[in-house]
Amino acid sequence: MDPILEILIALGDIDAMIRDAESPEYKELGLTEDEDPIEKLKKLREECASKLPPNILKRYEKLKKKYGRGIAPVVGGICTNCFIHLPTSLVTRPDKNKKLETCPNCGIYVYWTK
Amino acid sequence: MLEQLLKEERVILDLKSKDKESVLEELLEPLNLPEERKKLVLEALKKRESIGSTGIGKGIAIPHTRSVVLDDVYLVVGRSKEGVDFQALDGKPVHLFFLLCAPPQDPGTRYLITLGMIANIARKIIKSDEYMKIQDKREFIDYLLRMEKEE
Repeated sequence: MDPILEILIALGDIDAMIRDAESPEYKELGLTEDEDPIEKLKKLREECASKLPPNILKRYEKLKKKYGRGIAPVVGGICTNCFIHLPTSLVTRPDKNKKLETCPNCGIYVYWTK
Repeated sequence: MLEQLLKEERVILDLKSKDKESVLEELLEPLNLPEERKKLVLEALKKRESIGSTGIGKGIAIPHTRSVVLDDVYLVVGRSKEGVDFQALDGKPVHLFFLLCAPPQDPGTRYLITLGMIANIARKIIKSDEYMKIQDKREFIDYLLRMEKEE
């Protein structure tokens, strides 16, 4: 797997955790003893983001601002951000996830689940 | 919803692991994820644990995470007869695990709703040690579903 893609996945996972931790539904569950798990998650985020090249991070943050996330899984050939079926030429390629790619429609970074 | 997620092949009645990291790994086994994806989900679970243990006490833990590499919501239930040191809130060993993981976005927010259901079941089943006695996976699932409906 592309090493930058691996960091972007970790960043995407942390962002999803932050979003959950901030939601009232999650807070109601009381699944954490910590008074401020969001601060800890934000620290993890900082550490993770610092490993990315500045241009990639800038693009990720721009995407996150626009779509609420910067990376999305492709499931069954469909980008789960814009729900467009990606071209067959991309879907059938054997080197998926070996290099950093974006959805040709919405521009989000993609991870191929299959 | 819980009925759809509880599958016999995702129930482990006799977990072998003794520590936190290996039990998370063992709980991921039934998902049959490719090694690369399994590693990334494990990392996400460990990150979640690093902000506070999901061992909620009284022998129960609910490890959970979102991950970009997942294509669906998955639930794995595992029971350890000897107990696992999971740095639970009460410091006691954990005997019952509900591992829940999901992609960052899931239609109908199944992930958060299911987390709520599991937390609710957990509060009910700690009242007895019945869950330690069941020997059959199907019976175990039926027991959990019964507990979900119980007032």
